[in-house]
Amino acid sequence: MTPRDRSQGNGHGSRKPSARRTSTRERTPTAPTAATAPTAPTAATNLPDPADLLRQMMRVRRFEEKCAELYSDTKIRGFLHLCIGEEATAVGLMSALAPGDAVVSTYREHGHALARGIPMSSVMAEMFGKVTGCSRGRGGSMHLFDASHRFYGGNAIVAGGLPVAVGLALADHMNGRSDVTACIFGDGAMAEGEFHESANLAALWKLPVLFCCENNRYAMGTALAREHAQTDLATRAASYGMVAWAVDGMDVEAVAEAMRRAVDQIRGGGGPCFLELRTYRFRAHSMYDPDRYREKSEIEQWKQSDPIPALSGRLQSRGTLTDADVNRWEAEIEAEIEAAITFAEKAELEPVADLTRYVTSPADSEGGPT
Amino acid sequence: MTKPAAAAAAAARTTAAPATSAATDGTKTTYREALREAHRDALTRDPRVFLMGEDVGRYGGCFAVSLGLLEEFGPERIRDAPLSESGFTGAGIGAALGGMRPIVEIMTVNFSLLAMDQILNNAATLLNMSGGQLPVPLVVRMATGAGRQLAAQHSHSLEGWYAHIPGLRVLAPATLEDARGMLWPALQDPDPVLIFEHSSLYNLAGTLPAGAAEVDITRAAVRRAGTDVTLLTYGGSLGKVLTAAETLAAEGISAEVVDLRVLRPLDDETILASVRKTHRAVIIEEAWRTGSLSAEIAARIAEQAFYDLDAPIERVCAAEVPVPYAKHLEDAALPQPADIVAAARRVVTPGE
Repeated sequence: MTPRDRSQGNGHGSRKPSARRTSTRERTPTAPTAATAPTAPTAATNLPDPADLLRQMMRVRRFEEKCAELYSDTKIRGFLHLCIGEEATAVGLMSALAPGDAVVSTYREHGHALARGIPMSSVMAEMFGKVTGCSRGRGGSMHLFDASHRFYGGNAIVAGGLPVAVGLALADHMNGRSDVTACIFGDGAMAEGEFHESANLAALWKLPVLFCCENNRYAMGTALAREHAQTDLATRAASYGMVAWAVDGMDVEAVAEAMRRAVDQIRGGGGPCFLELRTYRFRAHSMYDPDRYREKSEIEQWKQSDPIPALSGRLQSRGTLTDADVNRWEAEIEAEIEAAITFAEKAELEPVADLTRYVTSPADSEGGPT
Repeated sequence: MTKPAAAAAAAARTTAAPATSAATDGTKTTYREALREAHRDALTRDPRVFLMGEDVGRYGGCFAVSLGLLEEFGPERIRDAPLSESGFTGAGIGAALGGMRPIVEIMTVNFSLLAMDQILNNAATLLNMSGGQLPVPLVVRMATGAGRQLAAQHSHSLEGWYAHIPGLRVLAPATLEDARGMLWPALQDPDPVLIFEHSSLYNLAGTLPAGAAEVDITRAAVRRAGTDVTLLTYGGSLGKVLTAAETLAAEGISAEVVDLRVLRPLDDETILASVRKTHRAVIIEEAWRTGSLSAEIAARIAEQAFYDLDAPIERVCAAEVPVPYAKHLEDAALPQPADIVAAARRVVTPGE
């Protein structure tokens, strides 16, 4: 089933009509879901340059492809979850966030980290287990952290990051700050109690949380219809009394616009929002996954919606993209990746003597006990 | 007041608070009121501090610790949470990351298992997993322990599970001074601190020295000096152990009572100094014996003070059953002063 197929059966948009929501219909092939939303998002303004979105998606794609090679070369170890096919969600999501906003992500977060602005070199060094990695080699692929970008992981407990996101938003709320916490998770997380506890808390306290569900239709190997009694995830989220709607997650412009609207609404004090980003991963769940649970034809069908050629084609037909642009970006990206690998290769390992460092804060931390 | 509580109160009176001299002009209070005063003090001193948990506000706290604080500090800072232990504990972690100093109250340690994912996988882990970028200055308080006929889902002593986890500090206040004085230093700790309040202690009454406010949260305390045997315990068992020590004294056995206070990291220095002096050790705890804190302490003594021992280490623990409801069965499941006395006699006069 393609995203367009999925949009056919969504009949919830008319339950409680709102004039302002119609623009969502225009921009997204998947109709807005959450008719029970108390208020509808206003039209998005200040959208990112689509060409830049394309460049960033190309950058994420090429990075992920390189990671797969490096994994085969045993330079990267542990679990490695690639987001190939899902670049539009990563890039679209981050395009709407301001530097002060917070991000809580999952274990499939390379794209989020790169699109958030964490240097590729520190992400690569982390996967090489080096001290110059963004988590000093303690996290690896699943646990990328960067406090300076307010990027709070890299969480590998499904739904475990959601309560933390609620708390980050609570701190912003209690301090009168206008920052938004974007919390990214997958369709699998919506079966976890922590999703429901977090959605309820955020809606109950009207906290500035943007719940971003990357619905790639599989919780590891379990298909959406085999894990959820109600597969319309935005509708379920809307039952908590927050604005929720579904977006074509293969269309980066649609994601960016939905994000912009959601962020604007949240920043304006409207409480949490929920976006269901309907997407698909082209690769297996992880490098260990033999991918036995889905048909090859399904994967091929979804590849017809590959977000990169789709946007590239649109921009060329609009006359805003040339082959020269693409070639230049490809060369730049290749150079950046090579530089990141060189950086990671040359970086030092954390001395084993520092094994127990950071288990607790150093004794001289501000206010720490003696 | 229960008999053990009375004994613990006696201990509170005989042991000087670390930061103050023995007071003659102290105030009459209870463990519950001392905790409340500690919250009031922290909320007044630091605007980043807030209390969050089930029924902490309008209800006044399930053990009435926070009674009246809602009226004083308002619903933003005395924040009633839905029954979502994982949700609001995780929210406490996030708020701590966001610059606040949250106190999360969980009704009982049994319920805290619903939040164990957050406590272990996030609170205790984020600092290390982020390479030192994300300290989590969170305080989580909860009731623990048996003795009130609440049966097997409200009565266990699982603090030892949390004491297993690197990255946490685990405290067990057993006296009025510690009830009053542990919260503020816990809030100053840049890392997560868990405070376990034995539910039989809330009504503990006594006199708190004037000016008592802050205690050391790194060291164990000798609650009664002795020479023949070291009785190591914490929390709700302290009163029973002091009662046992009185009985032993009447028999001519001088028992030293060490209140662990800090269950992680354990204060090896105080534990070992006492054992090296008395050459005998009995460890008393309300938790199950297998894989317990008492097992850990016994191992440390054996590792570090084996040749100082004149007798095998004894342990007095809860029976390995879910804590039963019926009073006689619950009593039988828990360490009692007579069990402690018997264990001490065995190590002091082996073979008798």
